Amino acid sequence: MTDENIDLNVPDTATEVESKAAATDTEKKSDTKVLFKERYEIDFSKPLPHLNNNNAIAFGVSDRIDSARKLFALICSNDTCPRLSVLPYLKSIEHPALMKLLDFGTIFFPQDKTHKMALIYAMPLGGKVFENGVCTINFKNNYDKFKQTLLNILELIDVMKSMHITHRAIRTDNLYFSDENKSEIILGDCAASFPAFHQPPVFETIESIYADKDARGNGNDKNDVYSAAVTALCLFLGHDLAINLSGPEILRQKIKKGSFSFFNALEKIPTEFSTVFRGLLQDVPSFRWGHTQVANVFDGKQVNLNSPASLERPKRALNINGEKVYMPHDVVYTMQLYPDEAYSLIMQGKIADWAKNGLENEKLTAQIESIVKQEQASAGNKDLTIARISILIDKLFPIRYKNITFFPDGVAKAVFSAVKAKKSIKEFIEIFSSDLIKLWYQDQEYLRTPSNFTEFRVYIMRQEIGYGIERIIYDLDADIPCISPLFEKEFVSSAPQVLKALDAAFDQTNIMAQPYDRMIVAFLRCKMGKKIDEFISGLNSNRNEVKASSILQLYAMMQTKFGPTKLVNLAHWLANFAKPMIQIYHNKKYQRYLEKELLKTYPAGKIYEIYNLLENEQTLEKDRNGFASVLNEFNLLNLEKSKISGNSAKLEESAKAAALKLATIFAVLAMIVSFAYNLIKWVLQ
Amino acid sequence: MNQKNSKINKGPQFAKAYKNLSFLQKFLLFALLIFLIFISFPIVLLLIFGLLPTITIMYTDRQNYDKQLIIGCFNISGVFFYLFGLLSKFSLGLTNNIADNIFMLIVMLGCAAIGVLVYSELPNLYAYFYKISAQKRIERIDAKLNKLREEWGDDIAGSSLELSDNTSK
Repeated sequence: MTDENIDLNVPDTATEVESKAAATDTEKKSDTKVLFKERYEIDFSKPLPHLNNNNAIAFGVSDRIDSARKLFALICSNDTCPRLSVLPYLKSIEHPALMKLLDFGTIFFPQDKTHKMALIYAMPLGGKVFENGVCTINFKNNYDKFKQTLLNILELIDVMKSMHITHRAIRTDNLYFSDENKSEIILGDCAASFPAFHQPPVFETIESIYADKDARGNGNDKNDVYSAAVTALCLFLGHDLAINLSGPEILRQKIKKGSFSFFNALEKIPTEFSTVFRGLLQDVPSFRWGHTQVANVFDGKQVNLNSPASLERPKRALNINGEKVYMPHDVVYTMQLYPDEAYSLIMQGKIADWAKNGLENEKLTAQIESIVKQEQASAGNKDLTIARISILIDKLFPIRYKNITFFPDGVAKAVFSAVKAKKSIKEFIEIFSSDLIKLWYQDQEYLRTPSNFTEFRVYIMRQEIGYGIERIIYDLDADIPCISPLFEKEFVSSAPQVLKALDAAFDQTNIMAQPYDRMIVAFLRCKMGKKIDEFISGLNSNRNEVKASSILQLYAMMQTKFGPTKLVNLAHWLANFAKPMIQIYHNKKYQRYLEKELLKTYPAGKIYEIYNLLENEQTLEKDRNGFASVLNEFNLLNLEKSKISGNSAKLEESAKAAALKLATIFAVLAMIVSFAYNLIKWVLQ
Repeated sequence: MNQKNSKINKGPQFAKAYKNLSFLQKFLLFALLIFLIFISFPIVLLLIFGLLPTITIMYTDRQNYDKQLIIGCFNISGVFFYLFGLLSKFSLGLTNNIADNIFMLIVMLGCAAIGVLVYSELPNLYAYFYKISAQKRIERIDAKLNKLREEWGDDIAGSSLELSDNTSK
């Protein structure tokens, strides 16, 4: 939840300070230019602080093909990753109410020597619509122009809806004049940062304000319509709304009064447009107007404001911590403000009683009673119980568990922020281990549970590399870049970038480190799919040589598929990491040969050559066979040795026996010879 | 072993056969023996003097057939030199010459001494050479094992141990 003081007269102080700092830095390196996609020359010596937006820094760009074209680049911050999934759609949109995105991609940002996402936009020639909180154009005398502007923005929202994307950055300081005559108003960037991350609370719906800034999610067109209505109100009034209230206070007042009444109390909404703003600022999204209803009203047609029975105030109030609350969203909000009191009410059955008698909702009553029974039977988890009952009472509110308030489509970005800020992610693990997200999606009209949601619990349970919460965030949100600690200075948003980033991240002093980690493996699994499962199982082996072989094989496959052809640093790293693979060969002489060959091979930067050298099936087979025969010989020799040394006395005896036999034969022979000699001599005589 | 037993048991067999003879048969045999001694007295005398070592061993070490055979064979080899000479000049007068000829006695008994020497020292000599040869073989095996270790690493010793452990199990 936002808690900063909002003063819309000073639109984005942090951004200004940042831009000044950036400008100073840039001045120091005035000669730095980067050619982007062989066409756009980003000039870091030309900062454009007035175009800084969504935590991204603007620089001048010259187009090498069409030099007359005025462009600028937004260099996104890596702290809040850009919305990668909406970029291709934004590039394809040609709409008079949207700043044209021409191209996007990763560049090296020399100021902090990191890789970042760059968005190339067409320059808004007329500058900003709001300067220091004051609108530079007066709509009070030009109703048609105002109507046209509002309709254009609403039409753009519809166009984006048709592409299943949202803007989520519709606010006064993101409005520009596309032309020098200041006749066309366009909306600026919406992709440089998390959705609605930089939206002041006043521009956001009750639910969105309640969620943590980084966990607001993409939302839907209804969120954009609400922001567009507040922006249009400021346009018509000619200035930003002067609200000196904290985020929680704005939220509280919007809940208590309703959004329209809240704004009407701040600034008198002109009667001419009162119906339109009432329709656009409806707090129930399904009743919120859109382009069609507004166009009909502007055409003089009668459009009824919805006033459903469900919005009527329940007959019975619920007393939480001395505060009487009637409406479901108010009950949820108050319950989460006072969790101890709320838990006690839940366990006493008073919430179920209120659902039965106040809301007259039998189904909800039964669900609450079931949760209470489960809670009484089990050890008890206060936060989980409150979160579950809150979801049941108001399905539109974000989920709040402990200190985290999130929409399920924004939870991955909240995890991203926590990891980046080196905060504990224990609560997120508990969230994914529970059924909260499933429960939230169950009653949503327009949203479906993510297809692989059932696997998330399995991922959380498994401790192996390639699973865990890392896998979930990448599976859940395509915007999240790889947040491996190895990539602190890199921006890795796709599998082909991983090898390049690893090559750049190589640190000679830390050569013994693993050239992968849980984040990288989980990221690659999400981007490359099942085909790398066999490598992941290898990486989970206890044997170092199997791990080395698996990562070498995976990276070799990636280099062959995605390139680049030369990755000297990574090859050096892998050659060192793959040393245990040499040990799989038994022959020491061959091991020494491989070590020498590795030193010769890695400078070529070809990972598959290292892999082929170390894991040659034929040589391996030959080595195995050689080892088997040598082992046999070794055993025979050992056997012979032990036979000789163990039975020496016995063998001596047998030697003596043999000698005796020999002596006997010798004696008999001597006798025969003597006999023969004397006989012959006697005969001759 | 059986062969040895059979050889050792020949003595009692002769004694048994002798016992089975009738008194008349024994008498005739004795008479024949006296007659033979009488007609070939110089030869008998030569054999008695010449084969004295063999006769002694046959009496003192009855069970050791190898010893009897080796010493006996060598002894008789020496006796043959004079036995054939006696056959060509057979007369009772030679009897004195046999008893007086010390050189002849030395040859006959010397041959028996060679037999004793062969019997007692040849096995030891043979065992000694065998021991040296075994020692050399062990050295050669050790050298070969070391070479294999150098070439294939200590794993081979480990694998070999494992293998022998498994075999013993």
